[in-house]
Amino acid sequence: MQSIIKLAPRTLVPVLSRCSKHTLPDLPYDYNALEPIISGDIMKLHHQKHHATYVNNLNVAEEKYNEAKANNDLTAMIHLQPAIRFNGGGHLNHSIFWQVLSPKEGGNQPTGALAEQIKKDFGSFDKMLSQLSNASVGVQGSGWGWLGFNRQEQRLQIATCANQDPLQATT
Amino acid sequence: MFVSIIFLSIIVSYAQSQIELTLPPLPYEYNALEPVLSEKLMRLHHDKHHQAYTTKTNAALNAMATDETSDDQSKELAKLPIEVILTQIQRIPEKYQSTVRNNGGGYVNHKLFFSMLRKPTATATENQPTGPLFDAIENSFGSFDRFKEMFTSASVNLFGSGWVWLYINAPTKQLTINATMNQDNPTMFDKDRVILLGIDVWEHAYYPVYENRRNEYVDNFWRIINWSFVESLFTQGTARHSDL
Repeated sequence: MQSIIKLAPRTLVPVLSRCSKHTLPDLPYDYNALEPIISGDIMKLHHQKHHATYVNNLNVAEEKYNEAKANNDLTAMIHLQPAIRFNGGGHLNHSIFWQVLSPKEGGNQPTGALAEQIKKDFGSFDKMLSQLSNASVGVQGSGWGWLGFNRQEQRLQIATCANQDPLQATT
Repeated sequence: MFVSIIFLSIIVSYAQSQIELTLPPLPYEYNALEPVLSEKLMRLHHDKHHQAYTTKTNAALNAMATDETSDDQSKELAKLPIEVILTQIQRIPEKYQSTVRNNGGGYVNHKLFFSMLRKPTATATENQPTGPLFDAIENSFGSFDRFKEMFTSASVNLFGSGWVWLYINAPTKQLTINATMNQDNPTMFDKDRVILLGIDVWEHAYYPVYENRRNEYVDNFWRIINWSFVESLFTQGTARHSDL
């Protein structure tokens, strides 16, 4: 009886982390839906290789992190943080990205409250686009260009992040 | 006639005061590194990426050299060799710093990198340095294989874009493996460091052949290292006692 109770906490931890494992979300469209702008081959690589790797590596890092935490191993926890940041950020960013892309063709503009806010904060949709393009083209090395909502200042803002730093967590 | 001579000499003197880094040609044919690095990849990497770093460095340095709002020191700094400027990044006026660092770094790193490569050997294990460099590596890392393991691991694990380097500290003769981000290199942080070997792990360096499989690229990289060139850098580095 006692040995079962002693064993239980240790075996529970891996079970819990298995329950909360991250999974690769499906694309909301076919792989070739964004042709000719983004090829089916690129979408497959990007989704099935790159995003999948972020998900797998995130799960591995999180499992090790939970173990380190359970062992009160602060050094190991800190050591794992860059991997969680990079792979977790990669998973978050790409999950958003697939949703943000659409197979619908040209003349594609937002409407309603978002359109109003863009006009308010940038003067026009075209001005916002041009700022976002310039910021994105100007990224050195790896990173992302974002249009985000700055909650503190209650306005839209363009920002760039390095590597896989997620916008919300790091700005 | 006289007027056109004056006009021409003005143009010539203006042209001479322009900073004009040139894109060095590859020291081999574009297809020389097949099948490890394809001709298509080498054309992209050299003619597009390295060219862009060259062009943008020239633009930044020329802007820096002629900026009326800068002091004379900053303008003079722009005229020094790019390798020297990169050891004094903090002295570059802030508005030019990241452009010069990224593009000047890219210019210098790729110039070195392409010279470090050669036609692939059949296997990775047969391609090794000899003489003093081999001994120095074995002394520093325990064995050449251990050095390869460490260098490979650093290359595969680097997040985002960057380089992995082997450098020697000229005064202390110590060898170090060092990963840097974007277009940074070890000499930027300490001018006593002499770069011996580097691997470009930006995706642009391997994607056309290896796609996402950086580990495969790194495994094959050992087949294309020009160890004679690396040995010559080592000889120069060990002969040097003082800084630039």
